[in-house]
This record gives sequence, structure tokens and C-alpha cells, in this order.
Amino acid sequence: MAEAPGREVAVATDGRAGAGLAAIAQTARWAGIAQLISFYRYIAFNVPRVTTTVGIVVLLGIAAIRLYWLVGGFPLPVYPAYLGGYFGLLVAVAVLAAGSMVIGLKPRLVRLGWVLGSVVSVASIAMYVASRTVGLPGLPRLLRWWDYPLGTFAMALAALFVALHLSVVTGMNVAYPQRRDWHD
Amino acid sequence: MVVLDYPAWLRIEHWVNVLFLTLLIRSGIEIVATHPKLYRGNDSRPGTEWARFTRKTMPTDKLYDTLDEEESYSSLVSLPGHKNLGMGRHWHFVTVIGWILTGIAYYILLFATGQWHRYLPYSWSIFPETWNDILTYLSFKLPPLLPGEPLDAIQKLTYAGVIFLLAPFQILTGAAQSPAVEARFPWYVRLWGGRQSARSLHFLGLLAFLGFIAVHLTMVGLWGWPQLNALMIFGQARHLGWALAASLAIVAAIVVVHIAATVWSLKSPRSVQRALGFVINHGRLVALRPMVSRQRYPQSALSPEHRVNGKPPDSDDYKVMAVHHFVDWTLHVGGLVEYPMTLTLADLRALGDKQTQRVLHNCVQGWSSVGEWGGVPFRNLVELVKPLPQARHICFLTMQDTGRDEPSAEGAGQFYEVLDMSLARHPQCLLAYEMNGAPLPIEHGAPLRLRIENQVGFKMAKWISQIEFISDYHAIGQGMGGWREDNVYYDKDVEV
Repeated sequence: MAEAPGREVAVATDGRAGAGLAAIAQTARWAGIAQLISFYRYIAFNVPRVTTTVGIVVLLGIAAIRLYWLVGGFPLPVYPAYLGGYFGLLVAVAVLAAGSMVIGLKPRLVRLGWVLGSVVSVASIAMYVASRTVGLPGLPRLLRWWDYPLGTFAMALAALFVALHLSVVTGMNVAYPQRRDWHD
Repeated sequence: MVVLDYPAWLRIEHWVNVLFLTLLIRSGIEIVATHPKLYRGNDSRPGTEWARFTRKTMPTDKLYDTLDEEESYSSLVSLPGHKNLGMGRHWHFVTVIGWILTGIAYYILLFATGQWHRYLPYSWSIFPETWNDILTYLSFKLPPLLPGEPLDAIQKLTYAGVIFLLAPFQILTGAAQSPAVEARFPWYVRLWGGRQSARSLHFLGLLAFLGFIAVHLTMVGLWGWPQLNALMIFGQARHLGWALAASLAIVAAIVVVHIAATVWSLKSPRSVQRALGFVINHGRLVALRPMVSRQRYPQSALSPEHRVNGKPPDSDDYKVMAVHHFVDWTLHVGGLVEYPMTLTLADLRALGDKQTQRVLHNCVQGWSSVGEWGGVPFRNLVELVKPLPQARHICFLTMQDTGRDEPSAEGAGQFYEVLDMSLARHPQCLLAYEMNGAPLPIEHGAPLRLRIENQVGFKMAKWISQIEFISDYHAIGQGMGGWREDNVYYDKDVEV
């Protein structure tokens, strides 16, 4: 018997809270909050060739900058050998990724190209940021050296590629040779 | 040398522009929501969209129309939101009138006061300076301002692009979507790559404006919000606290206007329709009503699949008539005429030589298709029945019962539309009984529909059963000049 009033109160409180929550949920639904949060599901583009072309151009841009650094354009006259190896590896993987994105006859190979492209992009951002923040072995002069336009541009390209890939993964975009199956 | 400062008119125009641009963006999104698909070709053929802003997929095994494709967007992004194309159109058009007038005043004042120097470059050196500015921004630093000017080189070029290119571009691509403009100047639509291309470009212009706003706000933040804000309030970098308070008050006022417009539109759409329609219609009748259709699209431009809006009458009477190829169908023409009459399809065919016209159809929702329509010029019927002098409008009554036939529609009752007499004698005002060389298909209005090519599609009543010449339409339906005007708050005159 002692429990009953408490339970009633709890129930009443839950009821009020429930009503309040329901009202909030209804208001949120009316205002389209859920729609806004999931807005990307309302956006779909059907420009696979444009998407892939942009992806390849961006990726080749990332590779070209590293190639430029590799062949003598790096702002430091001397740098550790591992950095040269990293530049070379990044150029090779970026070109490989771009190649599989455009000539990949199997969808799996194309997907792999995009994933490799994102790996290259994320790695390039991580290395660049690490060289400016925590520092890289043998490269103390790069610490806090942010005012380097080409480096910033390379980061922007990498971020653009990751964003583009994300748009493909979420279904906002489709990449060549995939097509939208819009027959309605 | 003109001092490139912040005169009062420039500051006022800036904040007025904020209001108009935000209203245009939200109401524009409402208009997109009604057919949230963008195409390249005039056909708007289903499945050929280059972009969709909807999660709906349409059935492939049964008839659907474009009303089923409408999306309901949140009021947070669209004005007023919740599937209110009529309201969105009113806000968009009334705002664009204000925006254009503001823009004209801005241009005049810019050139009259010499303030155009702040935006328009007059030396090729702007380009190397812009390149240097880009490198400086990429170095996470701020470039120097141009000597004696309030902007750096890239900012100057960007403002010039937005004020003298992007804003006119939006107005021109918007005009290319007006059926009256398209009908009178078909070359103008072709200039933009066609009707849907113009719509897509208009949308990309919206994205460009959104991008500009984002960069503009970022720049103001980077260069010193308090000082720049004070310049845009007092014209000088002083009283920073008061300037901040004033700008917040202005932004709050703009937000209040948006909220008020949204609530007003959702709670009392009829009064919005009347008040804003009063302003819009005067401008429209002066600027667009004189435009008479001169379309003659080539055979090759015909859409393989002409889109449809509105579902056919779902009555036994109609179905029986359809089975018998409408030989039992009759058209009653009456009202304020000397010779009221009842005509069969054969009578209509005998009214004169068949006229055909290959034209672009503009749906109010934004899609388009090209079709060839054959029938009797409406002016032939007018001459036959001889309207009385007091006849000022023509009411087209149809066999469609929207409550029964159109589950997606808001409202019920017999579909009707009212046309002004001045449009009845247009050379391409047609009572069409054929489409693409064959009898008019049921979904396109069999046995008879109206074609009036300088108007939006919904005015072209389908499944017509009766035509009345009238002096006033306010006693018909809810008195707004048509079923869609009554129920979804469209404007009666739809040259745009």
C-alpha cells in the first residue's frame, strides 16, 4: 500500500514528462528538425562522370604537389630520406588510385580506388599537420610553419577529396561507372 | 578622388539586402520543394534528373502525377514550408520586386557618388594582386588592402562578381523561367540552354550566393567583426559596443520578419495571397501581360514523354464517354454571350481549320515538356458566340472533381479556371482536342483542354465540359479566380 501513492506520483510525473516529450517531439517534427539533421538523405546527384573527374583531378593534384616536392620544389634544401620515400609512395598510390577510379572495370576495383584516394588524402593531411605541430624526425624547421601556400592548398585538395568520397559513400553522389537507377 | 567610405545609403542598402536575400532564398527553396528535381533538358523526363532533393520514389506500375512528387520542407529552410507553393511564389515574387528596386537604387547611387570605385577594377594589375592575395590567405595571413580602398584585390573582384554578375544572372535566369517571356522570346530561353537548364542555373546561382554569404561572414570575422560591423552601422569604426547592439537588433528584426511571414502564411494564407498578390499582379500585368506567344518549336524538340499534372475524372459518366471516344460529350458555352450554344467534338472540329502549335509547357511546379497541340483557336469560338460587352472573363468548368480524383491535392470540388478576356484572342489560345497528332490523351485532358501559352500550366483547364463568359469571378468558388487560386493560393494571372 505504501508503494501505491509513490507509484501513482511517478506515473503522473512520467505522464507529464511523456506529454512534454511528446509535445517537444511533435514540435521538432513540425519544424522538420529530423529532416534537417538527416538533410543529406534528401540530396542526391546524378553526375557520375563529373564526380569521378573531379576526384581524379584532385587526386592527381595531390600527387603533382608531392612530385614537385620530390624533384626539388620542397622548401627545405635538405630533408631526411624517409620523407622522399613518403612523397614517392604517396605519388604512386595516388596515381594508382586515380587509375583504378577511371579504368576500373569492376565496381570493386573502382571502390578500392576511392578508398585508396581517401587513405592518401588523410595520410597527407596527417603528415602535414604532424610536421607543423608535433614535428617529424629531422624536420624541426617545419614546426609551426603554417604560412606555406602550397602546403595549405595541398591540404585543401586532400580535404576536398575526402569530402567527395564521403558524398559517394553516403549516397549523395555516384561515381563512374555507377549510375542512378531512377526509372520512376 | 572619391573617399570610399560607408555612406548611409550604402549601409541601409546592405541591411535591406540581407532581408531580401534571405527571404528570396527561403521562398526559393519552397518553390524547389514542389518539384525537387533538376534537369538539363526541356523534357523533364523522369529519371534524367542531375539532382534530386527528395527521398520519394514514384511508382512505375500506376499513374502518378507531379503533385505526388511534392516535398514538404521545414519552415526553418523554406518560406513558409510544409508544401505551400502558392505562398512561396508570392513571397518570392514580391521580394524579387523589392530586391530589383533596391538593386537599381544601389547601382544608381554607386555610379552617382563614385562609390563604384570600391568594386569595379580599372587596372589589369588587379589580377596579379589577386593572385598575391590568394597566396597570402593560403598562408593564413591577411593581405594588404588596396591603397585608399576598403577592400583587398580578391575581395574587390568578388564583390564586383556578385553585384554586377551574379545578381543580374539570378534575375535573368529567373526571367527565363517565366512562361510569358519564354513564349514571346523563345530565343531567350535557348540562350540559357532551355527552360530546365535555366532552372538549374538559377539553383546554382542560389548555391553561389550561399557560398558568398559564408565566405563574406568568415572574412568579416577574420578582418575584425566589431570594427567592420561598426562601419556598416555608423559608417565609422567607433562605438563598437553600440554598433554590436544595433546590428544584433537589425538581425533580430530580420528574424522577426521571417517568423512573421512564416506564421502569417501558415495561419492566414488567403490574406497573404490578397495582400502580396495585389503588389505582384500590378507589376506582372504591366511587364508581362503584353507578351504574346510566338513559339514554333521544331518537330525534333517534341518530348518523348510529356509530363502530367492532375488526374483524370474518375466518374462512370466520363469512363463511358471515353470508351465511346467522346462522341457523346458536349461542350456548353454560355453566360454573357449573344448566342449560347452546345457543341459536340465534331462541331468543334468543324469550327475552322485545325491549328497546331509546338510549344513549351510550363508547370507551376517548375517542370516543362514540349508538345504539339491541335485544335480550334479560341477566338473562333469567341466570334461565334459573340460575348456581350460586360463579359470580362471566361470561366472553364471541367469534369474533374478534385476531392474524388486528386488525393494529393489540397481541397475538393469541381476544378475550374478563370481567364481574362484579353487573353482569349491570343493567336495561340487554343481549345485543343489533339496532342502530337493524335486525339488528346485522357491524362492530358481528353476530350478538350485549353492551351494559353503565356501562362503557367494550371490555367490550361483539362477535361473541359462548360465555358461561361462572365463579368466577375468573385462569386465562383472561393472567389479567387480558379480552383488552384482558391485552394492552394496561387495567383490568378500567371505569366510567371
